[in-house]
Amino acid sequence: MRSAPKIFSLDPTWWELFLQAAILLAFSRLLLRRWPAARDWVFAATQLAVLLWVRAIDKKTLLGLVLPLLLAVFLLGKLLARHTGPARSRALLAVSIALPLTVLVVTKYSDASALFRGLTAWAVDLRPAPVIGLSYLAFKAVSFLVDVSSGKTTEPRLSSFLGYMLFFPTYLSGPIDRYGRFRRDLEAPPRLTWTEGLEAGWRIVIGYFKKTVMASAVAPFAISSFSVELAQASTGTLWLSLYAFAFLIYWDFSGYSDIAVGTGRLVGVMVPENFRSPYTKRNIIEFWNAWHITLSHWLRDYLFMPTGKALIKRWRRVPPLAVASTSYVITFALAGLWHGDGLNFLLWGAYMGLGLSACKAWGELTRRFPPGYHRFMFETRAGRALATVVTFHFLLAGWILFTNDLGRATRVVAGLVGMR
Amino acid sequence: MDLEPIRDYICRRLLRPGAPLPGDEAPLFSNGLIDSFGVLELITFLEERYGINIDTTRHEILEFDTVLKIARVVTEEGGDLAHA
Repeated sequence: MRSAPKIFSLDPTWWELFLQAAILLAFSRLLLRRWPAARDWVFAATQLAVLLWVRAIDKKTLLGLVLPLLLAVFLLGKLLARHTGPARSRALLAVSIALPLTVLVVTKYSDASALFRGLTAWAVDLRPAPVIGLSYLAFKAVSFLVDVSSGKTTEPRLSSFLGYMLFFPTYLSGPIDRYGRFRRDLEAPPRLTWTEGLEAGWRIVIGYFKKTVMASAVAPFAISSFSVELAQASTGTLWLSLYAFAFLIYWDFSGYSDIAVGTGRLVGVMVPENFRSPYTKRNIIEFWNAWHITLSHWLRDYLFMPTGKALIKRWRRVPPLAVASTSYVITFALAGLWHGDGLNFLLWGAYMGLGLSACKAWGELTRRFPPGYHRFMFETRAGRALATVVTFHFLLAGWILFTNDLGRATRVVAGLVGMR
Repeated sequence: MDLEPIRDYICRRLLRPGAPLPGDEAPLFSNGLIDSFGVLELITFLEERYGINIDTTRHEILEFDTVLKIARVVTEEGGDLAHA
């Protein structure tokens, strides 16, 4: 068995640097309270300095790719802000959204990168490694552009936009905030009392504990490609390692999010919550409202709702359940591809989409079941426990696809049911 | 303000037969009674019933969380709740 993986990793010492930066930033914001413009520029500059300091981004990538991209997105946002609401230009919005998504595709997917070599070589060689944090930058850029275009967000400012896009606690792996909400915190920072400061610090400690103690404890047993040797594993070991992976990914990711939420609170930004006891949920729809919440909500607001609404209008004679299922599968298949470029990620997304469709269909079917069924499922511990166990094991099967390529996933499934 | 068409739609489409109608301020989405696709179906119903266009990117999903909030969106978008 090899060393423990770091799924949402920064070197632990980086968090100490992050914390120091957060404290410095909190003090600078206090000192600059009376000069909002200066305060916002100091805030944005601090984000850049911290990201360079902890080497989350290098100068070449920053100057050759990230800053030009951010400036282009901001200028497009300014253009979109001139014609908001019903008068907005959908063509301009489409072109604007295409920019960050194209950069994401070119940099994230190596095969796609090969297609664009001739185009990208003049600026910066994007091929060797994906740009860290770009997936989240692209999602934030899209939400910024859509919100500005719809009029939900008022005239953007460059200082707060840069602060939002480069906000160091959430830069690498979220949570995915929205510009309008973030800007309200910048303009009117919530007061930080001693009690709230201690709570924020405690949240960081909890997150750090989850990542470094709990996730590390189960990591050597987890069924990820780098820990358990499949050929030697018995059925029992495989089941154990599957459970271990489920808790590894939860503690690692939710620990990261706890640290981001706590650090954000220290510098006056109420970073949105990303997890709410997801493994206790009674169905897959509830799960996706409790796991990586900000990604789920991003997918819902910017992909699922527009897709679903367009399909409802076009497919008037198609049963609503079929329309819902198509929308779920499209949304989650794309979400799968966002997580990685392997076919297993696409299938994982489709599997989740089908799970959501089945959940919806079951909900429709059971509406007509006798009241006793509903009383058992919703009002008794046994009913709730049954639903939670079934949901959890549906998710476990999904993690097999998420963490293994197709060939290995097939062998894992065969091993789990004792068919090797 | 006539909220009956909205209440009727919720009863017919979302609740199990015989279940009591929730109050006008009772959460529909945040308590799991209606999911995000249910909100889309509700929006389609509102657009057809009140002759309005609801741009989903301009509204938060929680703006459809209660009967009263739904009525507010309909009014904001120019729908006439009195003479639907």
